[in-house]
Amino acid sequence: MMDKNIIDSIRSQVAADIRLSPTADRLRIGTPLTFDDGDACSFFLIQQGEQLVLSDLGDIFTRADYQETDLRASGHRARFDRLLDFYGMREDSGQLVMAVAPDKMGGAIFSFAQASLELVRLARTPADRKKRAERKFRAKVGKLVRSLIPANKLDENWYDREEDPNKYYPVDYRIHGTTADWWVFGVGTSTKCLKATVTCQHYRLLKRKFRGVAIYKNEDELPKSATAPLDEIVERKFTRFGDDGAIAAFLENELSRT
Amino acid sequence: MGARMATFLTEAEIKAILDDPKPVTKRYRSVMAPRPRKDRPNQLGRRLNVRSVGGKTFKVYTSVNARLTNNFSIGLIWYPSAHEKLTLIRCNGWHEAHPNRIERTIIQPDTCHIHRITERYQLVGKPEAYAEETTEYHDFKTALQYFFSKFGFFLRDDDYGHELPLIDKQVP
Repeated sequence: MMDKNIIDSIRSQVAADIRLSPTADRLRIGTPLTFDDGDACSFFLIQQGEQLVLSDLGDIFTRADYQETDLRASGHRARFDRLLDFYGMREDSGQLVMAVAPDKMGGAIFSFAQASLELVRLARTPADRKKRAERKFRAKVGKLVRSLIPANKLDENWYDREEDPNKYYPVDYRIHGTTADWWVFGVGTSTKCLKATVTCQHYRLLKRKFRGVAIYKNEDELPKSATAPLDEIVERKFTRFGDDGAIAAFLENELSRT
Repeated sequence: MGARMATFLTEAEIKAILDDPKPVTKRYRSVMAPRPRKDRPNQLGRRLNVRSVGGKTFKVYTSVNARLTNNFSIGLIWYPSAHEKLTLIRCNGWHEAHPNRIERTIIQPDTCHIHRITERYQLVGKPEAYAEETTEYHDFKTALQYFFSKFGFFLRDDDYGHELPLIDKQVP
C-alpha cells in the first residue's frame, strides 16, 4: 500500500501546478500542458448569469489562425464538430465554452485542456484534400462572378427567407434579372451537383421563374447519374472551369445586361 | 520514390533566410493593420505575401484576439515549396507561461515574447517551441514596428525605386 503522505504530496503538487489568477470578472486557469509551439495551455472560468463556464475567449481560433486554418471551414469542420461534441463544448461567437458544475470542476478543467490541445493540433493537420480543392474551386468561381457582376445585382449564398428559412435550398449566386433571375451554381462534386439539382427542382415545383447556370469544375470527373438531372434543368452549363474566357464572356454579355 | 523530406534548417540557413531582403510597399502598415474578419467572429487579422530579393516566398500575418487584445501574434512564414511552410518568427503578445523545455527556462505569463525557429528544436520535432522574452515592444502597434524593422524588410519606394531601410521608421 502506498504511503498516504506520498499520495497527499502528489495531490497537492499536481494541484499547485494549476495556476489560478483571479481578475475582476473572471479567473484565469493556467495548466502545465503545452501546445506544439511551447506556449502553456490556459483558459478562463467565467460566470454567465447563473451558470459557470470555462471559455478560451477565442484563443483556439486565434492559434488556428496562426496556421492559416479556419477550423469552421470545410475540410476541418466535421472533425472540429466531433471534438466539440465529444468534450461537451460549444462555440459561442468565436469562443469555445463548456458549462461546468461547481462540484465537477477538476474533471472539466482537464477535459477543457485536453480539448484545447487537440483542437490546436487539428489546426495543424492538413484539411481534407478533396474539400480543400472544392473550396479553392468555389473561391475561384466567386472571384470570377464578383469581378463581372455589380454588387447591387448579386446575392451570394442566397436563400428564400420566406419559403426556405432553414436554408435547405441555397443558390450560390443569384443575379437579379428583369424578367427572371439567373441562378449560378459552382459544381465541383457529385454532392454539390445533387444539391444544385434539388434546389432547382424545388423552385421549379413552386413555379419560380429563374434561369440556371451550372459551372462545373470538370463535368467529366462526375458520374453521369449526378450531372444529367442538373443539365436538364439549367439553361446554360460550362463543362470545365478552365474555360474562364467562355464563362466570363457569357456572364458579361448575358448577365450584366439583365 | 521515397517520402518527401521535411525541410531542416541550420542556424546559418535560418539567419540567411531572415536576412534575405524582403521588399514591402510604403502602405505596409495600413495593409497589416488588423481588421475584423467577416467569417471569423472576434478575430482580427491580415495577410501579406512577400517575395524576397532572393526569390523566396513568404507570408506575413497578423492575428489579434478581439476579446484579449494583448493576445496577438505577428508571424513570418516561409514556403520552401508549394506543399510546405515553416513559421520562422512569431512576435507574440501576452500568453500563458512559456516553458523552453530544452533550456529548462520559463517565460512568465503576460510577457511579450518572440518564437524563433531553431536547429535544436527542429531536432525534437517542435520547430517553433523556443521563445525569448522581449522588451522591444509592449503592444501590437510597437510589435508591428519592431517586426518590420527586423528580419530583412525594406521599403520599396514606388516613386523613385529607392530602397529605404525600415529600421528608424516611427509608428505614426
